[in-house]
Order: sequence, then C-alpha cells, then structure tokens
Amino acid sequence: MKKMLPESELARDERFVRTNIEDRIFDPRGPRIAQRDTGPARMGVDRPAAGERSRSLMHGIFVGEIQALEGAGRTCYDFDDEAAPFQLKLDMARQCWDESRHCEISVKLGDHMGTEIGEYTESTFLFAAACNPDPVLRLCGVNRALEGLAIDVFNSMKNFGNESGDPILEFCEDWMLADEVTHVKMGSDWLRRLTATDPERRERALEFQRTVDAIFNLGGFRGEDDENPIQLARDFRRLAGFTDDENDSLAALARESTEQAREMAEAATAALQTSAQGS
Amino acid sequence: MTETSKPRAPFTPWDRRELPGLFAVDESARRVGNYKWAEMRLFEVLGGWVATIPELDVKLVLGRHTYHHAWHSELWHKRLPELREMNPERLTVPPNDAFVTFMDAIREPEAPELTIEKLVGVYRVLIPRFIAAYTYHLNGTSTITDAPTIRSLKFALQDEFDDWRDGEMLLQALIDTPEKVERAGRRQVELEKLYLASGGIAGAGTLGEPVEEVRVS
Amino acid sequence: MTAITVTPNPFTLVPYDVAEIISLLEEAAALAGIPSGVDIALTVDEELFAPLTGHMSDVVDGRVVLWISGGNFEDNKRPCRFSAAQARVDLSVMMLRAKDRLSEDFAAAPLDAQLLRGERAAWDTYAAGRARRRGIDVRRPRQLYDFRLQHGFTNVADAAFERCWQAERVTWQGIREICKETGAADRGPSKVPVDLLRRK
Repeated sequence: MKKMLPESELARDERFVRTNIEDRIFDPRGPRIAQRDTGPARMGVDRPAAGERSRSLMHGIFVGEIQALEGAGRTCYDFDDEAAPFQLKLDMARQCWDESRHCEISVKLGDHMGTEIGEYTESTFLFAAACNPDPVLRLCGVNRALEGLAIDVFNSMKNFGNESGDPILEFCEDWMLADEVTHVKMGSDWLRRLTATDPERRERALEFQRTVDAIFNLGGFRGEDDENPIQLARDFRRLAGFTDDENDSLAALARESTEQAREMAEAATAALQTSAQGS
Repeated sequence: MTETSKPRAPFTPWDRRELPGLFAVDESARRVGNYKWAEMRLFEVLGGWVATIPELDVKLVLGRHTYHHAWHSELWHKRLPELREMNPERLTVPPNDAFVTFMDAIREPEAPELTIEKLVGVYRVLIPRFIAAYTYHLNGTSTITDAPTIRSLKFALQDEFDDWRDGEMLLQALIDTPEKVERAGRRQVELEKLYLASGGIAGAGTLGEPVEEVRVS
Repeated sequence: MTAITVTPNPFTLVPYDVAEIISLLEEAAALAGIPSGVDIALTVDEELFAPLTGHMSDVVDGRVVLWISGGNFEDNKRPCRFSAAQARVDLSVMMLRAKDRLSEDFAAAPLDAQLLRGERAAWDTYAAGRARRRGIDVRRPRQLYDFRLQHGFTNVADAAFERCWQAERVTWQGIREICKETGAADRGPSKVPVDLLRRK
C-alpha cells in the first residue's frame, strides 16, 4: 500500500456523495439568502427548520468523524519511525479508536434525529488537512485546528441538547467533547516536542493551523456572535491547552471571516441588482 | 485475636507455580522485541487501511483494533528495559528477512475492493499466529520470574481473541459467494506459505523446537 | 374542475419543472381527498435552499393556498436539483393539512403563520402518519424528532406523538389538548416568527 493517500481515494460505499464545490460556489441562491433574515444562526428550537438544520449538522459531524478516523489512521501508516516517533503513532492509534467511537455515536445520534447515512453530501475538506506530508503540520492542522473546531461544535451541540431538553444529545456530546479536549492536548504536546529545536518549522505549522482555522471560519460558521452557528468554546479550549492569546486571535479571525462573508454577500447582491436593471 | 507470630508457608497450598521456565532473560527479551515489531507493523497498516475500506462496519472495527495492537506494542516497549534492554529499539526488529517479506505481503493490498484480502491476512493468518506465539510464551515461561511478561501476554491475548472473533465474523459476513470463498482461500494459502518460510513471529522455534519421538529399543 | 397554479412559473434560479410539480400536486390532492372545484395555489420560494426548509397550508376564501421553501424540493445529494420523492412527501402532508382546514374539525384553527410551534408539530405528525398509511414514504424517526423538539423528550410527549401518528381523526381542539398535555402550550409564542422564512 502506498504512503500518502489523496482525498479523492477515500473509500466510501454507494450511499455517500461528495460535495461538488462548484455547485455551492455558483449557486445563484447563495447571495440572495445572505441578504435575508433566516433567523438566528445559533442552534435553538425556535429557529426556522430547527430539526432539519440539526440533522444536516449531525450528518456533517458524522462524515467529519469518519475523516478524522481516516486521518489519524494514515498518520500511523504514512510516516516511518524517524519522521513520526513511536509514541506519536501510539497517540494517533488511540485517536483512531476514539474517532471510531465518535462515528458510532454519530450514527446513533443520526438515527435519534431521524437522518440516514449518506442523506447529505460529504465535503472532504477535513481529510485534506490530514494529507500534509509533514507530520508536525498535519498534527497542527488536524489536532489543533480541526479538533479545536470539534470542541466548538460539540459544545454548541451539547448546549442545544440542554436547551431542547434532549438528554441523549447532551450526554453524547459531552463524552465526545472530553475526547476532543484530549486530542487537542496531544496536538499541542507534539507540536512542542517535535519543534523544540526548530522554531522555523513550528512557525510553519502554526501558519498551517491558521489556514485551516480560517477555512472553517469561512462564511461566519464559527464565532462568538449570534450570527455564528457554532460558538467558540473558550473554556474547553483553555482546558485543551490553548492560551487566551490563541483564543483571542482565533476569535478575531472568526470576526474577520464573518465580516468578509457579509461584504461578499453585499457585493454579490449589488452585482445581481445591477445585472437585473441592465436586462 | 489473630496469631501474628505463627509462621506460614510463602506459597499457598493451591499456588502451584514453579521456578523453571523455557526462556532466559535474553531469550524472553528477544521474543518480546519481535512481538513489538510485528504489533507495530500491524497497527500501522490497520490504521492506513481504514481510509481504503468502503465497508463502514469494517472501517470502524479496524479503527478500534488499530489501538489494541498499538497498545500491545506499547506493553512490549515498556517490558524491554525491564528485561535488561535499555535501548528498546535495538530489539524492536523482525526475526528475519523472510518475516519482513511476510509482513510486507500482509500490508500490500490497497484497493477498496480488496477488503477480503486485507482481512484474511490479518484475521485468518496473522492474529491466529499471534495467539499461538503468545500462548506458547505464556505456557513456557517461568511463572514466577517472568510474571510481568505473563501479565502483558494475558492482556494481549484477551484482545487477540476478541479481535480474531470480530475479524472472522466480518469475513464470514463478507464472503457470500463460492468465488469469494476461493479468493479468501487463495490469499490464506499464499500468506501461510510466506509465514512458514519465516519460521514465525519470533522466527524458527516460535512454538518451540520440533519434538522428535525417541525410540527405546 | 380544479385550477392549480404554481408560482414562479417558470423557475429562474433552480431548474424545477412547473409541469412536474403540478402533476405531483394533483397526485397529492387526490391522496388527501381535496374536493374537485377547490382551487390550489402553490408558491415556491426558489431562493431558499436546504436545510432552510418549511411549508405552510392555509385555506383562504375557499382556496387552498400553499407555500413551500425550494429547499424542501431539493435533492440533498445534488444541490439545486429537484427531488420528486421528497416533493411527494411534503406535498402530501401539506395537502392533508389543507384538507383538514376545509373540514369543520379545523374551522377554528388560525392561519399557519399564527400557530404555535407545538401545535404545528402535532398537526404535522397527524398528517404525516396518515400519509404514511396511504403509502407515502414518510420517515417516522424524523417526524418524532421534530415533535420532540417542540413537545419535549419525555414519555408523555412520546405517547402524545404516538396518538397523533396513529390517529385517523383529530380535531383542532384535540391538537390544542395535546399541547396542554405535553406542556408545549406553556412555551408561549415563539420568539422567532414561525413564518420568518416566508418573509422576504
């Protein structure tokens, strides 16, 4: 078996369909919706289509967990013992088990919410971050950026479970949250150990993490305002080893992304209006 | 009142452990190093395969088993310094080149349609041999002097039995045509021949020296 | 003779086919037993996409007036593409609710925009259960989750769901009693307008 598996080769059964990114980018409805009030983005039983939006997010979490499992598994395999120390691989193997359980939990939660495997499309952005050929960058992208995002997502879901009085959702998300804090700690620990004598590599890794963070802030998906569906979980992030400075800069990055998304939507709407007047 | 000064035997009457064992410290360490090497190669490939396997149930089981074998390799890694090997990497080696060839063959399938070949290698060839090698070590080593190895062997064996059962059941569910029976059989024969050539996970004598019948005239 | 109209006609943002939608509406109307001669007007908001879904069924001046998000018709696996299977489910539920409104049983029910979320979830369940028994591929777990979100994750709520799902006849008064029983009535009006997606 070859080392470094591209995301296009991720094996799936026929239920799974990949997101076609062009479909999203060129969807003419996007800019129009961005200008409409579709209610609070933050999860809640009062917001429009609360059930459907929760199912869609749950399915996104499920496919994300599959890719996290695959990413951790590839880190066990892709590197020789010099590039990735034995103990690092042990941590990744442990993460495989955790992500495997998260997949199982997500499937059960999907059943609980009334969705089915493969009901929504799968984006493979997450695995793409797990394809970096430098194990330190991969660890930063996956264990710090993506698993950090998972902390935010699970905390938001847990709060939604609490608010909606759904004990199953709240219970499961709390358990997964505990695992994710551990995974982020692993990432922070290995970043420190592997770059102890190589500050330039550390900076490259942190830059890669910022890039991945920015991708997942895109369009205001995550932040600290009501217009962000996923809320930054500062307390759990602190527990996972992120400093206050890191959390502040991530929050600033998130605000920037939200603002950019708003500007893009306004520009697109203006362009649509101009073209409508011209026609 | 309990009589505290009355002497008691150091071994309870039902404790039948004996001092003699088949392995000296060096031999036990050599075997443990081989186990660690093989468990490492196994957990790495299980992790690598997860992304190449389309069957969701198999994918998730392999994710779990990846950790089991990583944990075994960690147990052996920690045991090596206790067996006087202060540089565990020195003994983390395959027993011979033929065993490397065998493990390379186990790890070779990649395509998504080769799940049966992947699972046969692990669950019908390699893991039953782990069970055999660990059982031999468990039964042969000194129950008093090598007790820490025995404890680790028992933990590992419990996982091996459970994982073997998981894998075998997955295979039985996947092998649903006579053609697949043949595919699985071919793969097993091919790998068993390579294993035979290597002598085993710990090389020749993995399961002890061949016993020859002594004729008494 | 029943007049069926679909707005917009034609669709400009998504490639939905008006003739196909009209055909599905006729099918749903027949399934629900909408009397001949009752006109049906469906407005599809083609700007909305999944998962921004929702639909409403009212009767205004004897006409069935329906509104639905374009997201309800959208194939989740192929954005912008029409899914006849999904449309069939939602149109059946909508039409069964419209039929309810045409009867005395629901004469006192306010317009959909004024319903409490709990009332709406109970009524949807009543319609979805009937659609299921008429051969429509409604997914019960999805309906149950949506019901629980508004009525609670409790044994009382689940028992109420079961009654709504199994019922062949419920009245508006019955829907209100169910909301009292589960506590959904005590939640009061939603902070977010229930017809927010319908407002442009």
